[in-house]
Amino acid sequence: MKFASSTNVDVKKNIFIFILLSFILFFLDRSNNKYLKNIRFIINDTIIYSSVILKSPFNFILQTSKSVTDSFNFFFQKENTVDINKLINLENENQRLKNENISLTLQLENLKKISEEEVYEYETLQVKVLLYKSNILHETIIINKGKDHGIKVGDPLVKNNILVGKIFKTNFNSSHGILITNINSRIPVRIGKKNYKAIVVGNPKSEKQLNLEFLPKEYIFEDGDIIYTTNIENIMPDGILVGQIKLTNDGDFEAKPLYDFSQLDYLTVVRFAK
Amino acid sequence: MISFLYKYIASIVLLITVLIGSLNVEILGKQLSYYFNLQLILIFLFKISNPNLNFGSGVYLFLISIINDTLNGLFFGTSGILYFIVFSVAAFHSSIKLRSMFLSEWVSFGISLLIAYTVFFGLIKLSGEDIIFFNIVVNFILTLVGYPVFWLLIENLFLKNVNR
Repeated sequence: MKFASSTNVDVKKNIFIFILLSFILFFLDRSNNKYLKNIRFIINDTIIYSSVILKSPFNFILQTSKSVTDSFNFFFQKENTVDINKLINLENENQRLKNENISLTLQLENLKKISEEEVYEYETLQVKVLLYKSNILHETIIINKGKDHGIKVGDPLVKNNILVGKIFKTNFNSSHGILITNINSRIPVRIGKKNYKAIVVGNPKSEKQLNLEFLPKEYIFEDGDIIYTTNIENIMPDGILVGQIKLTNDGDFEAKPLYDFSQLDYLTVVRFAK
Repeated sequence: MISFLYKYIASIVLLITVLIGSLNVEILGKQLSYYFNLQLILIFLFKISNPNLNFGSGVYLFLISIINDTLNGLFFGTSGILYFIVFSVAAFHSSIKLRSMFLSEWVSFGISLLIAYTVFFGLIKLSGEDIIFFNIVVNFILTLVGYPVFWLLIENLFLKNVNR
């Protein structure tokens, strides 16, 4: 058992000092001080790029184990006899999806013509996702471009003209983005042919759904209605695809995001925020 | 080499867990860090298992907390406050205990978690962000439940022969 030795007293003193220091740092960082910002940018960039290098061996192990598993599965599957019925079903499914794709593309073209937004008039920037973190607070993606490349807080992150999220913090050479499914993300949108205005926020109960706030009371949705961004108060450029309305059996609706969660390796930043 | 590892193993393991937290290892569509806070378990366990361990007089712990804040997009100092709350409870517990008693350690870990998560909730609200209370509750419960598993690993496997 340890009594109050000088080491223990030192530890207590250090704990107190570091808790105090952490609180001071927290409030300084929160205050958004102009001079401290630059220091924060440098620290963040250093940590982010060091982390990318340091975690590369872990990524390598993960990827290797995945490819070994895939190869094993492939070999194992080859041993099995090919099920003809399964192949026919897959072929039918493929054809159905192709048709659906053509139909959806046509619908999309029509909608673009209606809204006259084929031309994308903002500057864009291709970025690579360095890190993806999900914690109890939010899902963050860290990209490899920042303030030095003209990225600003609020810039939309898109993939194939589908909104993925927006920038919420920038450093010199990296930026943090939050996904549209986050409860702290608020995107002004218009929905369907009648262009109902609303605000899309993340659904706290499900990551695969969106909530629509400030919807007009008299709204009537059709199944498959598309949700687009709208340019209210210059928060977001107009006409980026956000999600789709799915009507449920009980007469209610669900708003689902359109982006593919597994395709977040490369994104495009639309340089919009002023 | 072995003495070097014993000296720095806690800080190294903690740093690795912070880095690994950003790997895409998912369960039910969520990363592991969503379900439980491994860092808080490790800080408490390392301190309880070896009362002489101080994470370089707290400096390493502070630096690791800054790394965690950056990677999670949190304000600087947020993780530091949580880490040092848990560390201080562990330091207090290890200074008053006569012998290792799992249950009392677990209870004091629960108390430290409760204080840490309450402070975290307050800090996030101060930051002006919304937080899903359910997520905090899930994380709190699973961190508390996960403690015995890591206790078995660290107390009995790694630090059994460390000088106390």
